[in-house]
Amino acid sequence: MLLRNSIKQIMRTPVKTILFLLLVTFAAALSTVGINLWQMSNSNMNDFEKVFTTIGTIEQKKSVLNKMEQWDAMEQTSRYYYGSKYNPPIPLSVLDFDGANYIQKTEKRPFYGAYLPDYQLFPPDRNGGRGVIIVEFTVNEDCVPDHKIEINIEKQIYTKYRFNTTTVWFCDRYNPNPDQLYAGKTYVMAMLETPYRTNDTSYGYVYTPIEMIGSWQYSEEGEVLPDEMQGILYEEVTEGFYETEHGKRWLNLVECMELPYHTIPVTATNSTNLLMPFYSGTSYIITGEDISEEEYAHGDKVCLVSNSFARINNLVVGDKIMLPLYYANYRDSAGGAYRTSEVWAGFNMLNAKGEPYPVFYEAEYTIVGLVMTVGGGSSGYTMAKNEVIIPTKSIQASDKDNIVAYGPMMGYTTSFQIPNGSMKEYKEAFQKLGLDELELRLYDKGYTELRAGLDNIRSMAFILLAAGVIATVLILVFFCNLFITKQKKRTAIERSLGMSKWKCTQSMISGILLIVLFGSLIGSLMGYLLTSTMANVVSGSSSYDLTYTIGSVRNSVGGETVAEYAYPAFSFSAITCAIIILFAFMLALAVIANNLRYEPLELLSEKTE
Amino acid sequence: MEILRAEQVHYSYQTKYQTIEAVRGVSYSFETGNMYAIVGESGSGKSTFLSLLAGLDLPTKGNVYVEGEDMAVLNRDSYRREKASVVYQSFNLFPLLTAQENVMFPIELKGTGKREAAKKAAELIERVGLREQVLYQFPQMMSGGEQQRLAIARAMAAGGKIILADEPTGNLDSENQQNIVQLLKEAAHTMEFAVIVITHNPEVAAEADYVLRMRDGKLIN
Ligand SMILES: Nc1ncnc2c1ncn2[C@@H]1O[C@H](COP(=O)(O)OP(=O)(O)OP(=O)(O)O)[C@@H](O)[C@H]1O
Ligand SMILES: [Mg+2]
Repeated sequence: MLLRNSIKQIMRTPVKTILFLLLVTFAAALSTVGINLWQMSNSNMNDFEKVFTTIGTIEQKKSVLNKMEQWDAMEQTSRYYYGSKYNPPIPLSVLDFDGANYIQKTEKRPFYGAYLPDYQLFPPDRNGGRGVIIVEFTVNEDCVPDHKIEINIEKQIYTKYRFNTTTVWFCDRYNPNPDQLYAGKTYVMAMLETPYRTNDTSYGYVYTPIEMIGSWQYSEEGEVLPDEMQGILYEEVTEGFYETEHGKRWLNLVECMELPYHTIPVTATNSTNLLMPFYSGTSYIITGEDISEEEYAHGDKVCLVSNSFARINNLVVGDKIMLPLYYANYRDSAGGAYRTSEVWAGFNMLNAKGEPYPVFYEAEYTIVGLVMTVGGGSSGYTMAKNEVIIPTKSIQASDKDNIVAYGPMMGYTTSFQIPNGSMKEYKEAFQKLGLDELELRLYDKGYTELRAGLDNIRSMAFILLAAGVIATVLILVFFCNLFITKQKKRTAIERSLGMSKWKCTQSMISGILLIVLFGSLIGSLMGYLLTSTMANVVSGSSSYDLTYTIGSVRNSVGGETVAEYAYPAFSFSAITCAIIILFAFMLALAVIANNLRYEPLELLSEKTE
Repeated sequence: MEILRAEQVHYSYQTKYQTIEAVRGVSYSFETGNMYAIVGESGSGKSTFLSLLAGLDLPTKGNVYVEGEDMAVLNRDSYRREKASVVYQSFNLFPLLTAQENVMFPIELKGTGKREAAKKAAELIERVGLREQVLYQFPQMMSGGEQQRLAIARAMAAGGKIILADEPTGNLDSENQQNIVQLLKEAAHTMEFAVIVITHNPEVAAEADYVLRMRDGKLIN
């Protein structure tokens, strides 16, 4: 009866009631749209913060570009090329400057060689790329090998492949002043077959000595350690030669020749985010997980291995692999070092003592993830075949006696991570340093632009939400006043007829709440549907991808969606609706309580209506 | 038989600046079947006294007894619901309820079903001399006299035996005034109500069985 009378009376002022219903619906819709947009933009922002990273690379620029000459005896001409020279490497510490706010400090990554004789690294028939052969040879008459001469292969000391000719063409072709060779003497050398142009259309082949016996070991400071055998191409073999220091070294070299076929590159880093192949998306974890921040921080013995390596060797995530590290390359990235050959990394294999580099650290690593690399092409910015990633901190021994190459900071070896959105500040602070010799490149995958868009949406959401809240409050206050305060008399009559205060309250409130209920339900639903539709339109039209371009490296992993646009959560709409109803209830209660303060006697004994 | 008794009833209004003693020691006994008129100058405390009889508030001193029971210990909401109804000069009908619904209101409030309440309301409306057509009209569409009849019908509907009326004829022309007085008299004499009417009008007072005269919050006869 209470409810019926309440509704009856409210329905008998249809204009007011419909207006109230419409306004409540509108306010509820506005608030819901506001809250949903707000929630969506926040959740988008969180997602984007997780997905996006901002990294930078540093590269020391070449100081001079020298025109260099290389004599080619076979073609009787000098080839000219521009060789780059670097000033002494600029230390990493200059990047710890004021205003540099790093998530990951700048690291200059080495890669290590790990000797894995028990694993299959290459298909069995894989040509090493360079058919280096170590031989003892003689010549038939005294000569200077500044042209094509015939030599006799007296002994094959090392050859990877069958080699059954006894005489070959030979020329010390890149040496402008070759040493004299004497008939009757025996020499030892490492040589390689190289093509030369005979005329415009055809090529011939000739063996050329290569310098492998010299040591080019570097000190921790990046200086080449002195070695008397640097530059030696061939040596005379005399009686008891292999017992001499030089002779032993040739035997050591032979021993080293098989190492590259059993060596995988191991890159040590402090964060996978810093590695360009992962950043650009040409490499990604296909099975298992990335090395976690904690694992990096603790230096846990975990690693990421190449998917193909794992497959060939039947390795799965969770398996352990022993990594005996024996050399450190501080010049190249693994991808860069193995750019031209999958086996040879472009540095000499003997240390300054003339011996193979000994293992300096060995530990068992647990495989946590398998890395898939897509797209061909190899450069400093791609992953090398069989490349393994480990946390830098997991290496608990010094590599200072095992440095095979050293160079300045390069884009592919030197990178850092800064907070998203701080590119501009970093760049400005960096430029203030005046380090003209260092080239800074920053990448954020378009975060800055996207963030600006999101910020706009968020401000808009906030304005809508605020407008919705204000509208809701105003409308409810106005109509409570209209429906309740203005009907003080009704309450007074009800009281005089013996209705209790609580029943009067119910009588007054139930009709109003019913309208608020309807209005806010419809409004919230409308708001929800509206934002869902908007979300659909937005995500349909602008799901962004990870296509990006950087200077010399071009990576395009088209259409890989890295984050989904958020959709409105139904719960937020429901909560908005509930809050409006609750607020209306409390407000109505408060207003009625005010009405009930007056004793009915005063109101009712007024003499005029 | 006695239904209402006031014993040394006092009432004072507490305002911000002063205390107004509106009723000062009124004692009187009311019986069913009689019509009482309360007369007196403006401000003499008539309405205040009536409100106390209606249980809208309690005396600040003294007691009102309802069928021998102290009003102070009664539930005054149910007293008004079941025993006494008030008729006002300004009618105080629910503007958004029809005539019938207005009369049904106190009946339904006591828990009677809608159907029965409607029937009873229609009977009462007929009884106070209103045409059947008014049943579905809203109070504004009715004349002052009709509205007051309706208010009396609603007062009767409560089913109690006390009707308290504060200048029920104050807004009416003399013809309607006469009708209302006759209606109230009928209620007292044939329906055994105790009818207590405040009036300034000597003609109305003349129709009453007893006339109570008030001055400065006191009865003076
Ligand atoms: N709500 C109130 N607050 C304060 N004083 C009041 C209030 N109602 C009435 N009074 C005062 O109480 C006294 C008695 O008022 P009351 O209304 O009972 O007189 P009345 O006899 O009914 O007068 P009238 O004939 O004009 O209706 C008056 O002095 C009046 O001013
Ligand atoms: Mg009065």
